[in-house]
Amino acid sequence: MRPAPRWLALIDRVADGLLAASLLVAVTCILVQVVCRYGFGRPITWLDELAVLDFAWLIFLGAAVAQRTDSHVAMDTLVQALPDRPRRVLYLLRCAAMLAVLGLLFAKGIELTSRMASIDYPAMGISRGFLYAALPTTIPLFAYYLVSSARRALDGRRA
Amino acid sequence: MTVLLIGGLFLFLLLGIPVAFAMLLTSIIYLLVHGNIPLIVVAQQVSVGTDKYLLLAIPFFFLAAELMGTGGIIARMVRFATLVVGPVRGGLGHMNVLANMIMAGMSGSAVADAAGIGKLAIEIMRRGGYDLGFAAAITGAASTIGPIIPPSIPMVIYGGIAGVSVGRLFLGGIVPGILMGIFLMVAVHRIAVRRGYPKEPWVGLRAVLVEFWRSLPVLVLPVIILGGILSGVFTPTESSVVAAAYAFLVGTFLLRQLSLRDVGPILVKVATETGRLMLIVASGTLFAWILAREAVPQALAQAFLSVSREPWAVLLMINVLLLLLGCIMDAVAILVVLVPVLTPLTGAVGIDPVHFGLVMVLNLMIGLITPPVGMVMFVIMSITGIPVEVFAREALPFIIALICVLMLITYVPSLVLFVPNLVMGGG
Repeated sequence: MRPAPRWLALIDRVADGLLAASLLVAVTCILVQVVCRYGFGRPITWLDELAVLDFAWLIFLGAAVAQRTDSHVAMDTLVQALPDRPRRVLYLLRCAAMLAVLGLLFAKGIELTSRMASIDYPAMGISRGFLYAALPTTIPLFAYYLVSSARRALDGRRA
Repeated sequence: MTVLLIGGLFLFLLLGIPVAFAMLLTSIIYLLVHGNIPLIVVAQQVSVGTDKYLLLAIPFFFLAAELMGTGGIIARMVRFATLVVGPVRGGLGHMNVLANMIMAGMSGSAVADAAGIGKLAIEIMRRGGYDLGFAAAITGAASTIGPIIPPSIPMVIYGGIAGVSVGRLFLGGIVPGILMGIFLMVAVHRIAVRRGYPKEPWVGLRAVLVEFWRSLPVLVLPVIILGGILSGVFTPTESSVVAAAYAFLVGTFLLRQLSLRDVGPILVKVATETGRLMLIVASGTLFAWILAREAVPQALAQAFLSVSREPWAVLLMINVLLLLLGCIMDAVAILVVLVPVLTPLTGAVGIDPVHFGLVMVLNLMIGLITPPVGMVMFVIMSITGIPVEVFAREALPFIIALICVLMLITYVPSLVLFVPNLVMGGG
């Protein structure tokens, strides 16, 4: 097995960086809101909107990164008890099913984003499309990690 | 069609497809078979499932718990609890329960508590001469107090879906959470006497008071969280952020265990955990929407009501259903899918939504430690390396103790409702 190229490691680092940043943005928004409301008596309404918008990106990016370690919650007690070969076949089927779901979410996510693009957030005044774009934008990363998991299983390195 | 939905979901779960994807896949197949609903609702429901201000509290509570673990707050709680209850028979078992009760006042997730306290408490108990299986089982059982004593991530989810005041739910958890602690301690005592588990030396009242004084900055955190929400100063979301910020400050400046270098990995870990959990919530939103379209809530309500219209019988049936489901399914998925299904039914027979919220959440927390599928059980097994049958055998007395508490709060609603009615008025 050749060592992973440098630019592949870069994907991991950029994803982690963006993920950490998204949580930090959410924390900052709400903390600043607390200070503004109780410190200065003037809430900034768009801060809450921004935090919730950022939350959507955090969720889907986090879900994609969780696939890197194949750690999505699954009830695989039964599957684990199977002999090696059928278990690996099931695992590949599982990856294929997940990939199909991601493909559909990707296509429909783009459609939805363009359909919602003309609606604006009331306080921020920016397009609601930014919310719906979180899903299709992060799916390629999710799919990349999913395909990596499947390839590991094919190579037989996943016990 | 309903049979196809439920059957499909369980088939996919059985095949090992992750919970979120099993729900998505079942939903998509349903929509394809149905043919009249455009598939765009899949993307729409999943996106809308994340678009909730209240649920923002979830990553912040995770963050607070993670900062408390790294920042040395958990270690301090464990030490304090050892000094207080260590000197009775089976003292370290009681320490485990007490440490979890105190942590429950700052953290809202049983899985986070099991991972955070578990490693430390199990190691201390093992060195103190306790069986590993016993240490593992009591750690798992005690961590289920986490989401009952406020704050609580499952109650935020329940409140968000059922439209019930999170402040009331939080207050409603105080008495049941303390009851869980007491019942677990009784179970620990009986086992400790039978097996002759040791006592820890009593260090004197002075030393305990000194440790209490030192722990005070940590112990006031629950007061800040609850007080903030109840006085209307903070929303639950804001209180969770304040808790995280406070844990960061205490860990960094007071206990000096946390440095800025730790923060990056913690942020990534917490955000990944949030993505995992919220993907289930978002997918569950779609699945619940489809169940509602298929009128499953009405059908289920009719089935239950045809057996009995008595609230006690309805609650009994729901409890049995949830306990069984909790053994085989993820608690968050059950919550997201079944709250909209069950609340019309419980509302129809006049069960208070806050009372029902506590019953449902406590019930599902028991599911976290019951085999074959239990998230807390999995965490404990990976910490200790004990096989599932040992965990199940050792956890049985604690599961029975928790089911006793469940029955108690199910049939004495005032145990839940007394505190919220006292503090927030109404009934």
